[in-house]
Amino acid sequence: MTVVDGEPVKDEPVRNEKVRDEKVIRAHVREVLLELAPVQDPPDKPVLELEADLGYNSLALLEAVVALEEELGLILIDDGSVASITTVADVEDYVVRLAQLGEG
Amino acid sequence: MPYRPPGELVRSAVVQARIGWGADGPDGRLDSLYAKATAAQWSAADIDWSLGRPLDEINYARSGHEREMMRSSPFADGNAGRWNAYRRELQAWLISQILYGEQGALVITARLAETLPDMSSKCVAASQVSDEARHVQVFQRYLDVSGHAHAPTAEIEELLGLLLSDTRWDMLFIGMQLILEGVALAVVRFADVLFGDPLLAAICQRVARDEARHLGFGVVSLDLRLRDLTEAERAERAEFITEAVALMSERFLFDGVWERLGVPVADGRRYAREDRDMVALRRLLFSYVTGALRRLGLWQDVRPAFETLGLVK
Repeated sequence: MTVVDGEPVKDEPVRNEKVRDEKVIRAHVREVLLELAPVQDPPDKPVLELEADLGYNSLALLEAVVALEEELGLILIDDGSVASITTVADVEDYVVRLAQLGEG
Repeated sequence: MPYRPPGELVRSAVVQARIGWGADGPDGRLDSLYAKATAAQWSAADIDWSLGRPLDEINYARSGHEREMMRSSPFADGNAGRWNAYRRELQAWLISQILYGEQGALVITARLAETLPDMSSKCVAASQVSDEARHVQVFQRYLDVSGHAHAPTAEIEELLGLLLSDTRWDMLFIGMQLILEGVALAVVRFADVLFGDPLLAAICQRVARDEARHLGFGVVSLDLRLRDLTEAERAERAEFITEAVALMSERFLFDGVWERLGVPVADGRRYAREDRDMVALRRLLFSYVTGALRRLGLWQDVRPAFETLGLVK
C-alpha cells in the first residue's frame, strides 16, 4: 500500500493519469531503475539484468519500489508474485500489468 | 522474564482542549479516512501467533547477498554465529524502537483528539489512538516471543519529549504523523524482505495498512494547515523537520546494537555510516517521509538537510 495524493490506499492498484499509456509506464520504470541502480554505467545490451548488470540487491530494489510507487501512483509487490522478476523488462511488464488491472 | 525498559518519559505542556459543537471537518478526505479506519479495525487475536519462534533459532545467512554481507562486515568477518547475533540484535532493536514510537504515537494522537479544532479530525485521531494501542500490544507481544528487546534510544526520547512539550498541533503532525509514522511505515511495509520472520511479517502486514492511513492523515491535515502559514511560520516548520530528521537519522547508527554485541560503538557507527547496505537501509527508512514532504511542497525547504544526512540519492 501507499499514499496517493494524500489518500492512503491499501488493497487495489490505483488508476492514475500517469499510468494510462503503456509506453509512458515503460519509460518511467526504466528511468527510475537506471537512475537508482547501484551500477551507473551498465553494459549496452537489450536485456538488462537487475542484479548482474545494474547491481541491485534486495534493499536497493525496495528503494526503487518506493520511488516507482511515488512516480506512478501504483502499489507494488503486495501479492508475492515478484519472485520471477530478474530484468528491467520484467519490472516493466509487471507494472504495466498492474496498471491495466487498475483500469479494468 | 520478558524485558521491560526502566524509566518513564514525563513532559508538561499547557494545551487547549476544544469541542467545536457541530464543527464539520474542512475537507471530505478526513471523513473518508475515518470511514476507512473504522472499516479496517482488527485485533491481536487475528494474528497467527503460532508462527512465532525465538530469534536465536533463525539462521539469517541464507541468501547469497546475506552471506556476502557477512563476509565483508568487519565485526562478523565471515563468522555465521556473529552474523546471526548481529542480525538478531538489529531486528530486535528496530522492532523495539518501533514499539516505543507506537507508545509515543498513542499519547500524541490522544492529544490531537483533544486539541484539533473540528470533529472530523478528532474522529480520525481517536481511531488512530485505538490503532496505536493495538500496535503497542502486538509489538510488545512479538518482542516477548522473540526473546530479545532493546531500550528506547536517547534520540526517540528527545524527539517525543520535544513533541509532548509543544502546544502547536501542526508540529505534532510533522513530528509524529510524517516523520515517526513515515519511518515506521517503511519498516513494517518491507518487514518480510528485511527480516524473513513469518510472525513479524504477518503482524507488519496488518500494521502497515494502519500506518499508511496515519501518514495520509498527516498529509491531508498538513496540506490544509500549510496554506495558512506565513513565510516565517513555514520556515520554522522546515527547521523543525530538519532537526527531527537529524535526530532520527542519528538513531539509525544503531548504538544499542553495537553495545549489545560488544563491538566498539565508534567502529559500529563507522560501519553504519559507510556500509553500502546500511546507507541504503537508512534511505529506505526515510523514503515515505521524503515522499510526503514532496507532496506537501516542503521538499525544497528541507532537501539540503536530507542530502547532508545521506538520506537521498
